[in-house]
Amino acid sequence: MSFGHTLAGTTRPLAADDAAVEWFARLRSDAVDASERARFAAWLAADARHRDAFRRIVRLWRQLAAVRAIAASSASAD
Amino acid sequence: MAKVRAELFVELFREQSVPLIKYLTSRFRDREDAAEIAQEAWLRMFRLDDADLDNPKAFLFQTASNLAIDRVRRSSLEQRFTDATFADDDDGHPSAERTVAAEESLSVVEHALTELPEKCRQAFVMHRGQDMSYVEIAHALGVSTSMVEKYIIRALRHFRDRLDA
Repeated sequence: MSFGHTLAGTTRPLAADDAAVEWFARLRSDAVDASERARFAAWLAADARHRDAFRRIVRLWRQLAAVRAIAASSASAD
Repeated sequence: MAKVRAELFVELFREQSVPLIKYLTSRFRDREDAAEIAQEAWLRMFRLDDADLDNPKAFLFQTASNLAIDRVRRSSLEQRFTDATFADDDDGHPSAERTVAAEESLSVVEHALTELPEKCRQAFVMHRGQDMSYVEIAHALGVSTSMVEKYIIRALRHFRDRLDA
């Protein structure tokens, strides 16, 4: 991942919320290798704020279930 | 002093390297994990400033054990959060309250979607609304999978701002 180094916080420490979004999107991709999962585990374990930020993204994702209805209605409109 | 310490270390390693691996393997099952943790524990032993440990063997096993526990803790934490990442919609019976909230958020989401650039919006609808994978979306839109990931990130940030999440 091209922005992996920023996730590790070595160059530009991202705000927890931004890092959480990036991790969320990364984990939903088709290919996540063991070392990335380990880095995700380390990131989660490092700070309670990281875990809170990640929970917020999971909640946001659930809220966005609304997109299903939108996708279905636009498909039937076609 | 340094020589004595190095000798002690070598002796400890000669005596304990196999037992330590066995100990860790019995706790972990995964040999690769055990080997990695053993290596880290030895490294920590070696880096210790205080050469006068009362019981270097006990310290070694304690260090390895702590590393092992930490790893298990991390991996179960990770598992929990990764599972949450894939847990999908709440398909239970919605309360009236939740239905109203859902309707409100539907119009907010609908509006927020229109504010996204075309391909970003399409990618997000395909992924969240139609369960298409990044690879499938990449094919459909003629972009790379890493671009799809960037679209998803961009869309999520946008929704986060709009839904005040």
